[in-house]
Amino acid sequence: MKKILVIFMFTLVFLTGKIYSQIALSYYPFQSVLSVSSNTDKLLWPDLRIETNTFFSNINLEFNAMVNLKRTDWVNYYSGLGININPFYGLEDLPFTNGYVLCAGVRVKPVQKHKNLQVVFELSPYFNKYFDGGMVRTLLGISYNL
Amino acid sequence: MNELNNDSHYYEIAVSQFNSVTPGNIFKPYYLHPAESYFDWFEADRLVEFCQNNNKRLHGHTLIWHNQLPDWIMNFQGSQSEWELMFKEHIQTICLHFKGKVKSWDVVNEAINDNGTLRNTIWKQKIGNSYIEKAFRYAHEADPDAFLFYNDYDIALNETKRKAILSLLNNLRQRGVTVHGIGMQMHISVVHPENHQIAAALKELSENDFKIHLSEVDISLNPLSREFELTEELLERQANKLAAITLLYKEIPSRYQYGITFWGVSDRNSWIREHFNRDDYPLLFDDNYNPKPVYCKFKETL
Repeated sequence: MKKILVIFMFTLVFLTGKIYSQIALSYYPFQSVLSVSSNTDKLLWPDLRIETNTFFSNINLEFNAMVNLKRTDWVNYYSGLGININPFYGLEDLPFTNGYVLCAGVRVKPVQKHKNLQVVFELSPYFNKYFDGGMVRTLLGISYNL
Repeated sequence: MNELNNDSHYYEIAVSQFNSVTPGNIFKPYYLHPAESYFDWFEADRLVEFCQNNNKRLHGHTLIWHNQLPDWIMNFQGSQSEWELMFKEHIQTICLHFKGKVKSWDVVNEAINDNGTLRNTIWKQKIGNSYIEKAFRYAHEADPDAFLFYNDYDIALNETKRKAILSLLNNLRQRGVTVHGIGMQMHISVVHPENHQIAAALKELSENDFKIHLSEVDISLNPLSREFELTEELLERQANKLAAITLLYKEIPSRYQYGITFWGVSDRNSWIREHFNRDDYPLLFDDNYNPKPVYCKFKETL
């Protein structure tokens, strides 16, 4: 069952890439997180984050559903909900789900001629799956709508 | 040693399930060096004998700490150089006594505050900031074959503290001091730290070329000392936590894996119940020495 779930998640990621013709790539260097999203200027956009520069058994994935609360020429304000999982834990008979995330952030477009280039700052509290622990995370990164 | 002597279940598990031993108390100065001119080797030598008879690696814990010091050290009157002489004799007498019998030492224990500053221990007050460097130098001088560790808690949870420890130890190495590894005390709970925090710590310590000893492992089920009911779900969380940590530990290069040490055998032996006066079940075996889910999953993951 766990293996099927892993395959399902990777299929979902692949299909997401197919469905959305325009994608955004973001990198958060302080957290070593790489993110792939659909066009972040749309009202709704999904976002997949991958923890990098870590052990295989710690490559956590985070799926977020984001909504732009306000969009201007200079900045988008967004919020969203997400789930943080570890696909490798599924293979080791460990809990697939790590926890849940609530996101609130801004995507600033500092160069008007290149609005696809964005600086991202996000506050995203994380709760473990039992909701008895967690942490307040902040993310700072750079993004580009391809 | 009391449990080893008086509890046959404890003894059997210690012999059959573990390949390494760390004394919880009897190597600390309060027990080993109770008077200025007297070392009490009796209990410690019995443990050495147990380890030799049963082919167990012995890790010495701990040469220098600010707690569990005998009164004579706390009340020692002397100049800085006299303190340093006493400090050196303490370390080297112990290291020489156990030379060839103790494979590794926690040379200094818990010297860094949570905010990354140097803890204002009696050793720092009397000898100065260099006491850590001197402790490692004296230990290495007395037993050049022993692996020497710095041991502390919250290394995974507290990034500030971790960076301060790495900075301190890397600086010592640059000055030619022998420091082989870091003991990551794992007095953790099913809630904290998150696995990715432990991963970050393991990665950073191994990348800095330190052996990692997952020391003092116990996984609390009741970290907030609440009214408590032991449930299957909590036992499963505990098992999953240790399994996840073990998976991470196995991913660091083997030359950096020094070992995993549990801070007791059964829940009835844990320091947590008495120290925090709370109901808790942090170890591999239950009060009746039956293996818990955490034991079974750990064995599968190893």
